[in-house]
Amino acid sequence: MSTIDMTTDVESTMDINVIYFASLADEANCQQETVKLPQDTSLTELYEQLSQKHRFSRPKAELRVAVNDYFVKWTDQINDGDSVVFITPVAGG
Amino acid sequence: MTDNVHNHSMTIKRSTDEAYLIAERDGFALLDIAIDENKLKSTLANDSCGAFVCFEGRVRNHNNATSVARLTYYGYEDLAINQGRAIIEEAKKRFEITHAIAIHRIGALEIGDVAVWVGVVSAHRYPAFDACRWILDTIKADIPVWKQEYYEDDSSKWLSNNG
Repeated sequence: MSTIDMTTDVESTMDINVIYFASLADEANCQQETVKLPQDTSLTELYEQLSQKHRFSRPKAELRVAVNDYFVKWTDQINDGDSVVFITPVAGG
Repeated sequence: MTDNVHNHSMTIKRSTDEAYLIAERDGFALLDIAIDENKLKSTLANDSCGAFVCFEGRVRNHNNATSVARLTYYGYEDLAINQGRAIIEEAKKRFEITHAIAIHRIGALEIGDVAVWVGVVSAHRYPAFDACRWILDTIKADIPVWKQEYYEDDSSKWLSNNG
């Protein structure tokens, strides 16, 4: 109700844009979604959460992850407004 | 399986001209139309280079014992360009080459179409051969492109280069 509460609330969450490719797009049945998360949510926690929601068939161990169009480590931090893509095994060539 | 969940990865966001400019400058781009190898070869022309080695990866009509009717490649363009730039930079450090360009095509391809093209120029032949092979292997391992094969009975499967 109070302004302070609202400010706290805004500061304690972040909006993450998740974009899906290949089999994950099939399983999520969408190209992208915006997820509101508590600050300090890790990439691993984000994948586990979305994996439960969409029943992804691939375990995290088989995936790589990209943030804002660069590969990153699973332990890297994410911030409000970031775009996250979980990369299933690639098949180019 | 609705096709529209993949629309964003079947075409490039950039124009064809822009994709070729990025390929010329950074060494890698995705294209969603046939790869113009003459254009790429003339881009690589260099009077100091005695060697030009090129690899074309073409769509094959079978995968192991299964007959393949057609296939579709999907790409994450912005990451592919960033990762491709890093691959070409690394190739120039590892091998005595003058320049290299690689293009991967996305979208629906027919049997015989060129899916990936790698060209390398160098003063002498061995670095060009070695770099061409390394670039192709690294593209296959690291570039975010996915392949879905369609079979005679219209079933399909997501492929993977590493199991």
